[in-house]
Amino acid sequence: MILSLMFFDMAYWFYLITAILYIGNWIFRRDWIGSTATVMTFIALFANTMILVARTFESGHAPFSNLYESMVLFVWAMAIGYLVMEFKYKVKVVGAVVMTLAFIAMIAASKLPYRFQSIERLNPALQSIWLEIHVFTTFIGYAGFAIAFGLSIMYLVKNRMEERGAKVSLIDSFPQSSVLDELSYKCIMWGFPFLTTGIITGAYWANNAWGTYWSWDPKETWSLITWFIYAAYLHARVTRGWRGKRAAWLSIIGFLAVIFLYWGVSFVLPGLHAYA
Amino acid sequence: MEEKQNIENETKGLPTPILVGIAVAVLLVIVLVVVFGRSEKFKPVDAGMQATEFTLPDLKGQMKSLKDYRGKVVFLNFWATWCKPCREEMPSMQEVYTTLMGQKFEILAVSIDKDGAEVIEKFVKEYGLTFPILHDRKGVIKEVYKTTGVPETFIIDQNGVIAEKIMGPRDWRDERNLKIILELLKNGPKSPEEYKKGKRQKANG
Amino acid sequence: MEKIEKQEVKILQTIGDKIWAFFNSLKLTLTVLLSLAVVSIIGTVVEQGKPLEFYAKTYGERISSYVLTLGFHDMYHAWWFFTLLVFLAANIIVCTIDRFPQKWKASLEKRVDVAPQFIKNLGNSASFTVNTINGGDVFSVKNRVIEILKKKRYKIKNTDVSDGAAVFAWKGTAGRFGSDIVHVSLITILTGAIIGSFFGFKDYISINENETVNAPKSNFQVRLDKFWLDYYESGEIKQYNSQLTVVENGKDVLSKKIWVNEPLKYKGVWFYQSNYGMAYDRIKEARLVLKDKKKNQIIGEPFVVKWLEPFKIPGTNLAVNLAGFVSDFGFDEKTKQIYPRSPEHNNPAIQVIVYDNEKPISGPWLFLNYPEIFATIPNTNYDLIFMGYQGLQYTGLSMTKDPGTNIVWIGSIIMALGFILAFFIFNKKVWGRIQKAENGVDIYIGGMINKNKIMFEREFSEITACLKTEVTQK
Repeated sequence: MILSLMFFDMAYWFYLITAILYIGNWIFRRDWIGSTATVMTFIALFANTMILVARTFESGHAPFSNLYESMVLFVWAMAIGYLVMEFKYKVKVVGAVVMTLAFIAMIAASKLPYRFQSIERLNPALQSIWLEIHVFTTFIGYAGFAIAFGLSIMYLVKNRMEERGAKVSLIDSFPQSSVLDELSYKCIMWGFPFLTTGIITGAYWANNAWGTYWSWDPKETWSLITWFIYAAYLHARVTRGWRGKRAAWLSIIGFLAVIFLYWGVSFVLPGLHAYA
Repeated sequence: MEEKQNIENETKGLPTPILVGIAVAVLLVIVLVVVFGRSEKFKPVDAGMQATEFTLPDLKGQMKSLKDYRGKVVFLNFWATWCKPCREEMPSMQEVYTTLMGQKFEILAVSIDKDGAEVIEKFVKEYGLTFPILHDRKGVIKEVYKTTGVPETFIIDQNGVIAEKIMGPRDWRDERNLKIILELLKNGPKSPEEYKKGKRQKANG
Repeated sequence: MEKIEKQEVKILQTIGDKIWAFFNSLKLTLTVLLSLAVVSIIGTVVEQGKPLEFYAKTYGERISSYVLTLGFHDMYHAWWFFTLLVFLAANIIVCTIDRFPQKWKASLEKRVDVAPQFIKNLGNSASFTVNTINGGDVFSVKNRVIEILKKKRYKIKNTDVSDGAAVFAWKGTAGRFGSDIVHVSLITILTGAIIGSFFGFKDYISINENETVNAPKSNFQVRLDKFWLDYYESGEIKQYNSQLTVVENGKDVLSKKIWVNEPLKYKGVWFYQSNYGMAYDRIKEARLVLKDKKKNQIIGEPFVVKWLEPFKIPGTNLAVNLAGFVSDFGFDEKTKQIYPRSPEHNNPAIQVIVYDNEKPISGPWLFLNYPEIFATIPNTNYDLIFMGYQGLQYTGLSMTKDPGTNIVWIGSIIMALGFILAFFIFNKKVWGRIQKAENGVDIYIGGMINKNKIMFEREFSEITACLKTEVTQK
């Protein structure tokens, strides 16, 4: 168990450095800061991957069985998603927002009580490959929504500046609002099918384990709420009067729903889904 | 997406090899510090380790510290009123306490209940417990001791070193479970290595 | 007469049109989706399905009366929740019927010969001239264009026109229908869910080892042959397992080992390993031994008596039958009844019938924790000591029958297909027009995509760059 916790500690610091570098790149606009930031992201991602690998060997099952492990997976997916985006679209300014979010997630994971960090045996209900597929796909979805969240905030800021014709140098370096809009759409185009797959595989697992694929428990219901919000986003983009700003707000509210779904439901509401 | 805007290609700054050198050095430092400097903090709290000092209020609000009991064998038990195995264990703990009354032995039962002291008071009255009950309402100390559930018990020797860690409930009336406590009372504290060896033997036997 | 009828028909048509227009709206989609979200949130904050007194206690008389009238306590079965879902379904169906025919026609259309102005008006457009010296003739340029587009995996259609040639290239048409497929799949899933809620049922049965029970609402029985637990090395429970046999018309028809996440299925009914326990009213067997009262010594070896199976004690004329058990002995003074105070095995007691030469002589209750009580066998020097027992496990199974489940899974697979089309396959179209010009050839090229414009902008500029270099180099 110690190995995975050590890798977590390393990844924690690496992600902090990564976030600082991207913010530095945004403020000072030096090529070398930007390149170092990208390299650092790879290093952090490697350490992150090693947490998952070590965890798998230590526990004997897929490394997403509780809140701590799933946070590690979430950050991992965010880092990969961001790197792909940076590679295709060269938008390092976005890294300042996204990698900061990733580091915040690492902080949250590190604050979890010890019992989440220790290895626990899977109880009978959790021993199913459908569970593993369910958790995996859901968290890829969350990562997509997280990046879209960052992009939507940037969109609203940039859009405001463009409307007013103002010139704020820090925001000038943001990509154009139309680009930010399309990039957040792309992220949700990944996030939404993965979330849907997550909901459906979760239902399939529930059906195998307990005989009901849907029981309106708070976790299931909140995943549906999140789904409704992002479905609204997808339709808002093709509805007059709802493109642009309102759609961006839906993306932001959607991610707040994701946060509640992920953390709030386990700690604030009672129910079956107390673990992950 | 090409950033057509104002990113000046300023190559002012340190030359590449030095930058790479600095980066590698920083990374190495982090890795080494984590692996060698901080690895202790990842290990679970177990036999052979020094029991961390703490101070907690009892049910009357008086603060009690672990160091107040240095020189005695301390039975540190983490429990909660809502935990069924804890409730089953308590009567046997009370019996041990009464039996060993007069010897240099103390039970500190730390409750992690998030509710107020009244709930615990009720429970203590119902079970007729006479040993000190401390309240770790915020759960800080249970994190320090890295407990993963309740009940968890740490037998701490006269020097403040953890002699044994027990996860889960025990029937403390059973002599076999009391062995380490009775040994410590009779012969005094052992060395930390002996406690670690004892743990390994238990795991293999 | 006719005029009135025509008027009535007209009114109906107007109403019909208005209803159609109401459902044929994306604004409605947004309203319904967000309403469902808000309503569902309320359903997670207000605890669902609790007894009515709970709400009075938690929210006070006044607010709880609102809660109950509005149906917030059973949100997801409330009539208006159902109405919202119906609106969503109608919205999906109407929008699809309204837009699909047009989309289908447009996708079949492959206009090749378009005017240069059309191309210039497209979102992505470029034009340039190639001199004859550089190989600017219509035929070869047209072929270059086709080659480049083919390499990018476009399908091509071209014709020759009076002053040159026209090329139309396309790919990913199926991507346009992704949303329709997703919408169809949603209706399928809703249908499956509705069928399930009307025609399905859920129940719970517990079976003791070697016992056969009737499966509720079905015409077969289930027998538990064996129940056991698997453990991890560290001692925690790894899995609950049951060996079940389905019995129909007296014959064993199916035998299967089930565990959590691995159910048994028979005639559309599913049995799931849910929990387990130790029976509180019977045991498998008890261990007893005879003791000489005077000498206070155990006589002979302990012997095992099976449930309800009389056992002849060797070396004596005595026999013992194990006839009763309670896990936690309780005695009701008023009714003089013996009953289990709890399902926990806190104070286990057995009732034994003792026979002397096949005549019953006593029927005492013996206590595991107090073996001396009632132990004496009358007219003998013996005490019968209750030493231990093996409990009887029961398995707890939840059973369900849901004819709609498979429909839901089929809908899900269709939805996955729809997503792949909607989110990963994009309909791109490129038009090219090559026209004879004074000193060579004019090329007009333009393209469009159904979504993801910026990504297409890059692809398009790659095409034009490629074309420029290729045609300006001979």
